[in-house]
Amino acid sequence: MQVYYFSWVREKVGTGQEEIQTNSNTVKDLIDELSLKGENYTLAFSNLEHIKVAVDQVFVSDFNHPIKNAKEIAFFPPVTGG
Amino acid sequence: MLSIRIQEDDFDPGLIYNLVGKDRKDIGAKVAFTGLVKDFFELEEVTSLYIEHYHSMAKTQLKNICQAALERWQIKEIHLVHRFGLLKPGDNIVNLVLASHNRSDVFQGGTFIMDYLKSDAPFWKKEFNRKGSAWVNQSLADIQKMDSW
Repeated sequence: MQVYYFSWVREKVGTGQEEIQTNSNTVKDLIDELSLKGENYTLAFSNLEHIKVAVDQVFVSDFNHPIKNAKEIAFFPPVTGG
Repeated sequence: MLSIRIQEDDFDPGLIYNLVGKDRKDIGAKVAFTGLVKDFFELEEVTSLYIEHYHSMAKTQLKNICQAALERWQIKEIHLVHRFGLLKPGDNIVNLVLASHNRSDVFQGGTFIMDYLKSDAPFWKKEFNRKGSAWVNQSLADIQKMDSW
């Protein structure tokens, strides 16, 4: 699946997009898996209260949301457009 | 009619305004809003503003927000433009024009769209000044405005 990062999450991770092969079942599982990849990921996901998630371009508020068939997941802080 | 554009280029708010409802005889009210970059916000003496966005999702979210307004009010036309990229104080960020039979629908519909856009569309602002830069934090007041609908 494609994983996207935006705003300061992108800056902390160090990339805006990457392809991930994963067996993670939920958003939380994926975060845990990504956090093992390096200190940059650990830092980006250190406080999940500041992280929003979109699964296939739809906001999900539950980190236990399933991602088994998802094509893209995005992690970002609360939005500030307009 | 619903028109949504997300673009890096500037736009002419006056030109868009004049085109909305042109040649129609059933429009009794038009309202226009333009959001601009100001030289102060969370930082002082802002020299530039970078707007990042999640293009495909932003387009979907803006469409969903406008569709919700079309279902809730008697609105004939909605024209929404949102910019991304590096902007300067005084530059246009967002432009919204609505047309309808009467003023109540366009005023309320316009406020609804902007309130949702601020807290529900994937755009992020980063301010720059001479001392450095900082991502803008989401405003609690903006969330409360959205929730009030």
